[in-house]
Amino acid sequence: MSGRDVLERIRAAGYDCHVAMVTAVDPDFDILEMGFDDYVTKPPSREELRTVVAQLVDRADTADRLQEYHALLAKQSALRAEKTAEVLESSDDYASLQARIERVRAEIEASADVFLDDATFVTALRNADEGGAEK
Amino acid sequence: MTNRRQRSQRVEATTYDSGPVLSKHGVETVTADQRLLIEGPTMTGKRDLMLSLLQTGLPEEHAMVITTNKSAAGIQSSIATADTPSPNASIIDCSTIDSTPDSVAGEIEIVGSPEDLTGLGIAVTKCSRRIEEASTNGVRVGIDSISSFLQYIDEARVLYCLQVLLGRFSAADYLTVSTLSISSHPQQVVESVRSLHDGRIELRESDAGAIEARVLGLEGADRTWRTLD
Repeated sequence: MSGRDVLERIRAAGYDCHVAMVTAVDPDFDILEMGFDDYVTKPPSREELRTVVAQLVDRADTADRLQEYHALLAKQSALRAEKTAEVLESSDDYASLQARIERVRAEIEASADVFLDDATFVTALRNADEGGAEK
Repeated sequence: MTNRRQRSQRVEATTYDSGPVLSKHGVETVTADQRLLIEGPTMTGKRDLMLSLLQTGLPEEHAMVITTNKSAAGIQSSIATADTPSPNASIIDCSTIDSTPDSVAGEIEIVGSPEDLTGLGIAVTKCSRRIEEASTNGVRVGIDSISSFLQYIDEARVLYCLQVLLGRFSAADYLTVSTLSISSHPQQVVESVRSLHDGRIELRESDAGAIEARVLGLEGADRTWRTLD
């Protein structure tokens, strides 16, 4: 069974997990365009396998935070549309929503280094392409 | 041979020269990793101002332009100056204009539509690899225009994509200059886009028909409206 077949079966079964491929040659962008999230070249060392798994976990955390951030912005936007500025200013809930937005934003800023990694960067944009930001 | 993961390197820059427009508004240098937003109604010269901020760094620095409304060839010829006829510029063409890339000098990546975010990611990665091979004093990136992305893609996805793009550029100590046409979007969208940037240059047309600018959020910026030369 080819790597592509394995990926198709995983997706067909409804698993929304990250998938890295072990490949014979350096496939670079091709593998990302095929839908894989990352790769290691054969034969992978124990260290390389650990690294790629750790990076996929980090990446899932970053994606979660980005999604949380946008959910919070949408909530803030809805509140601004239906309430006056005076009402919002005196609302404790609104103040804590704003504090949370700032906190998540700071967390995202602090972890922006992950996007220096080419595979992480391209798959993050691919997720936006697939509507991942709304999932 | 075992593959080494490809990773973008930080550039050596710690600050960027601000150029004549920003210095007129009290801003002498801009910290590397900052993200500037140029916003204003249509026909106020947002793209030209973005290009002039990129030109300030040439020829020592590299420029990277993500264009959605103007062809790569058009950007190439606009960014060249008498002093720097062939600048180190990488153009990522997301416009839907038919380009003739072979007739143009320099480095061009064709993406073909603002909708193809995967293609955009790959193009950015290719450009940063090339720039790093050449070694450089700094990289200035222009994104023109965020409004086009908002026309093709829903707001949440555009904001997500911007956060990823700006996050990478900022982590690499690139200076990013984006443009936004404020007449086309609800105020809340404008606010969200602003929140992803560190400072902004607002443009407007005065009653007499002159283009005016003011600068907010940058160190030294005095928030005064002045005529743009």
